[in-house]
Amino acid sequence: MNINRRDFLKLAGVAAVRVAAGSIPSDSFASVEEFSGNPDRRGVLVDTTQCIGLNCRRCELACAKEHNLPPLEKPPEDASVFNERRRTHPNQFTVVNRFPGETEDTPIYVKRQCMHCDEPACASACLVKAFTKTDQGAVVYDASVCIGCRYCMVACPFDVPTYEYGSALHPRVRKCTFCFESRLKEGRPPACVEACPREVMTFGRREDLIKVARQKIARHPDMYVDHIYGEHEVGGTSWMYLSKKPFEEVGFRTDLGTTPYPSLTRNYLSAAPLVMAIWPAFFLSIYLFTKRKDELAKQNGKHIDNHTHGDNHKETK
Amino acid sequence: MKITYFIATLLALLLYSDPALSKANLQPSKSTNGCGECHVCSTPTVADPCLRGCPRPRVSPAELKMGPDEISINEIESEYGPVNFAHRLHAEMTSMDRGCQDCHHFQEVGGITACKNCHPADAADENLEQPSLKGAYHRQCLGCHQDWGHDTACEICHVKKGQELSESPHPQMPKSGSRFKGLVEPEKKVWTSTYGGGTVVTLFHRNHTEKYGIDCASCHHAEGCASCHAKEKDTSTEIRHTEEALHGICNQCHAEMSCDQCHLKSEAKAFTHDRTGWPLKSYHSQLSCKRCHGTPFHFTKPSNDCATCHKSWDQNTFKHDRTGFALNETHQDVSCEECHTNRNFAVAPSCTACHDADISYPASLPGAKTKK
Repeated sequence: MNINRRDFLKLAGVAAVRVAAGSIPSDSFASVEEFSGNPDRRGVLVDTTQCIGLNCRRCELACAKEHNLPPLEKPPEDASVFNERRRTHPNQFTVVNRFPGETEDTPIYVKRQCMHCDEPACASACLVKAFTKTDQGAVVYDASVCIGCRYCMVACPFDVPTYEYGSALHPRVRKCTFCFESRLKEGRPPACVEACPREVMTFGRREDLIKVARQKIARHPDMYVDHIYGEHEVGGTSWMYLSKKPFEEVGFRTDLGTTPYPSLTRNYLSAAPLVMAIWPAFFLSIYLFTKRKDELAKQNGKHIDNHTHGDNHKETK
Repeated sequence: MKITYFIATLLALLLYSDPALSKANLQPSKSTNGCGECHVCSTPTVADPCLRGCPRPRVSPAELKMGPDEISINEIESEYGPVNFAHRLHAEMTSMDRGCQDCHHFQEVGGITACKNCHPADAADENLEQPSLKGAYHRQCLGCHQDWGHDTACEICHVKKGQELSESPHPQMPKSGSRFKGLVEPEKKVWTSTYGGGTVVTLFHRNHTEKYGIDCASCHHAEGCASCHAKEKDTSTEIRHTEEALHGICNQCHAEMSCDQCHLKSEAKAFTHDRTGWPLKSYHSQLSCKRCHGTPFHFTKPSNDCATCHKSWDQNTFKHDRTGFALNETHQDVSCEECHTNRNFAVAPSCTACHDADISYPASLPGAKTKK
């Protein structure tokens, strides 16, 4: 978004008027955009009970192909890949991790990628608005405006955005795109969802997916814990999960709360333009105004003085 | 009264001539289930049968014999050849667990519902509640068959277009882990026969598999998996062999034995090598039979030349005192062949290679006996 000087002054003017009016709560003119949400936005429901992980990892392969990423470090048949818990990195936007299941023979595999929050903390933390939550539900990144501050990486509660530290000239923040440009825009499911042979992931309207998830939990109470991860976490995410074991046991943070991250800072940040831009202008104008008044008063005073002097002079004459 | 019968017959005829009903072979009245197993409302009609949704596993108890031996799945003709699914084999396996409903989780009265009747072949079909046909098939297969490779992974099941089927119509599928771990092998089995002599026949079952290396299917052919692998041993599935068939199994190896060698008055004692007059000690007792006696079913008398197995032994590596005869210093460095002509250790050693005819074995010994 480009703001030229005229727009900026206009905005500042409007804001000043609003402050002067005093009746509007400060939230409503927040510089951090509030996400009202497109009811038709898409999401993905991941049923972790169906993932087979070992020897498959088709989602990882499909993702690499879709985004022209380098080949996987370890091929799908290499079981050692599950010995450590992996994170996404600049060359891999999605990873499947293994967690112990009820028995040794039934481990739980969990595919992770960007959760595509409804109210993304990364977008809120970004100084230059490089992140956008699209109408379709994806949180996308614009490398052309990114200044590389990596605040998004600090802000993300799921540790998703990663940075191309290896690139000296044009490092970018990399993360799952929900295949926005190539697929989601046209209403098609992301590459990983389509590649999954067992249809672990279901793509559809987020609202419908919540209904489907509730139904699954109700029908198979022995198969799922009664929770849809991502329905309310950090204000809701586009990607949601079902699990047999409690989510904290399969690598999910359950201490995130349901408050959207941007709203934690919205009040504070919304004051920033007021303090940083409008206050100086406002007080400067008051200062200049009073200064000029004083000057005028001084000049007038002199004039009066002179005048009275003259009169006196006249009188003395 | 006659009129009532007439009306009843007419009604029945009408009902059974309804094309929709006869097509699906619906005979709810013959079902042993309660109405609630299939219908959610109290008065279902043909127009609105208010059928219960998925899963509905207990509607029609299917039987193994109802299913086909093999199913050729050919949904993606444009990309791959058909997948040949060994239905009977899998049906037998699943009889160890939850039965047909393990896969056929939704059934209609009077028959098995094909996967594609519920699961749409087109993934874009807007039913989010259930997987598409692709997902449904793969969920069934990949649950067990997880050991599929990477590059040629799909080709394990999906034959490439234009490629001939491999020799075996359904190649051995690699499988990881197993849900069927109920295999409890008996130590021995004891039968009582009607034979005039001794009546007790003892089979040392575990010896046959573990020591003699006989694979299960050599004896247990044409038996369902469940007869051995069921979580709880189900003796009802055990096949009752005829006398001839039963003897045929034993006679694969024991054909030359007389009746009285198996049919004893009391339970037999397990085989030990001592009985052969050749007791095995420490090292040899730990070996499987086939290490010395060849392949199972064709056990042969092993050569008594130690070198048939111990090829690397020579005068430096073989400790002669182990034989019960310690060589004296002069003979310790003599090569084996000097005394044991042609490395034939079965015959008495010859001294003529070095000594004159006045020295011979066992009159003059090249050492001392350490055992009596």
